[in-house]
Amino acid sequence: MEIPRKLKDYIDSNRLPLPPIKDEDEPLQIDSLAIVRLVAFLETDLGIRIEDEELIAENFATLRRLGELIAAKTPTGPTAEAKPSVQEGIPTFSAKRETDRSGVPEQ
Amino acid sequence: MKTDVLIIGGGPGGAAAAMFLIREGIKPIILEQEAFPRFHIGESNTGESGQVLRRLGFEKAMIEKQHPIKHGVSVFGTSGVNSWYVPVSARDKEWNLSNSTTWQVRRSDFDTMMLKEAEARGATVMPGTATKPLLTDDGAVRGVTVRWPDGKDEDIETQIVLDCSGQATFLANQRVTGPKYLGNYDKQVAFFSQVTGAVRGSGVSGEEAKDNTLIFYAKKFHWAWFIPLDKDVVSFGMVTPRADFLSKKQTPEEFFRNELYNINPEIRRRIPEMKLVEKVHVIPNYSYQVRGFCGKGFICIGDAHRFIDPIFSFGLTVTMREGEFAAPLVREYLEGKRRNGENPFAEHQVFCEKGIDNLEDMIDLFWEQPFAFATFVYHRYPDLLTDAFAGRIYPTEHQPSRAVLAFRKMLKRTREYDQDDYSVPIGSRFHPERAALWEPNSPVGTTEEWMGAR
Repeated sequence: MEIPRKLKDYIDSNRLPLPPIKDEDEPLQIDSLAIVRLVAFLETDLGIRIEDEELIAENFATLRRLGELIAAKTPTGPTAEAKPSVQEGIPTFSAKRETDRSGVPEQ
Repeated sequence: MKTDVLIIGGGPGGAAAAMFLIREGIKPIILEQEAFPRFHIGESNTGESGQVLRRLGFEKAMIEKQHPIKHGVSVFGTSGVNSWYVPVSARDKEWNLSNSTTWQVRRSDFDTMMLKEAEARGATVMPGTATKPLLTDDGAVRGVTVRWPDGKDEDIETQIVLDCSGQATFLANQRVTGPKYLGNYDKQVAFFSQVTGAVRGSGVSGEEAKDNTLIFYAKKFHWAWFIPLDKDVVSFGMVTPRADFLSKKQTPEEFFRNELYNINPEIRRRIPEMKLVEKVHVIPNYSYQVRGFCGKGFICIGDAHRFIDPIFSFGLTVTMREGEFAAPLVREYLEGKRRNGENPFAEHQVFCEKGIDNLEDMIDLFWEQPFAFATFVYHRYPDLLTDAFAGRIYPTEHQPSRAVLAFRKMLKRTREYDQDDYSVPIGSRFHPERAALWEPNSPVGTTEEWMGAR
């Protein structure tokens, strides 16, 4: 399965400062909470629905696994449930890279 | 001695139940064997337990006493770099979601305030230990034998006993209830103390608010908590499998100091120096469930009938809510209603069980499939998850929510309630070989005995 350009770009930009992925069996090397964001990106931006039962970290370990996961799926267009970026009473998610710890005071 | 209602245990469950009873026009006796203030663990409120405190008129006192204000809980992933955050939330009458706040509490202070206020409002607090239930010929509770501090015993006759004895599970251990089953979590130990000099959030609200709860995830059943207790002191604890502790052959304090930083990289940033201002406490951490926890003349409340896992801080919520739910039923019972059936509180029993079942499904999925759980929190069911985290767990048209149903599907679990109307231990937490913690002819007397030395 061809990995959509948009998805490849998303993954590459989320594993910086690591270089872009060249080998589809290369581990993505993004942590599990970053994979959560990847799922949200797949569903919200690419319209690719991931079933609850498919929410296993191994399915997102490499580009090959990811390609196999989405091969049989037909994009439905961005989901109608996409939530507004700021809404009261809604959980948030912090991806603090080592270089960006602005939210937490350093000693 | 005679009274209408005897409450065993003067913790927040007993004190809240007493204050809700007083609102119903009933002045109970509270039996408390310890001198308050005393140390206790379980220091965080949810949105809903904050609402209970507001309904009981404590908002002003909570603010005056400067209990830390909790805006939400952050859970740090294994790398310590990323986290997800669930705000404390509230629902209005139209079920619109909004941000809210609640309080962290130093239990010695909070519990004393609650008990004193219950007394000020009309409860009688007596220093004694319940040693034995008194039963009628048909098995109804008609009182308890109490041992006073001077060593003398006395029978207190009562129409109903509220067992708020916490993990002591007085009525269950006395075999008044149905059997007490072990749950899914039975091999963990919690180590905890209090520290100064901890690094909190730098903000005033939301995710960076300084007094939020932080949870550090390591791997299944390994985690740590960070709960601010006042402007200087933070409650800090970790939970690990018991086998890890035993294999190291260290004292609890050595183990605590040595292992804590291994839980999650974020901990070293948050607690740069291990300045302990409280001894290191150790408690075995295991879940249990008492069946038949209500009956003629008795209702067990909170930990006195069920405990799952301390993660996400539901203890105060469940015990105070159950006291609130029980109060009007107790009044009706005293008025002579509910006297004909087999179990006068069967509906209350199944109602409480269903609420905790919803919690248990959430906690089980968190441990079994943390990645899927985080996806649910962040992306799939964000608003429904804030309901669960806030303690809006009891059966209504909103619960079990689509999120809870999704948890069950992923856990391959269905919830069924048998004809006695209380939940059947099922799924991953039910171990047939463990089922008979005690039975009438069992050689095993208590859960603790069955589990062996710890």
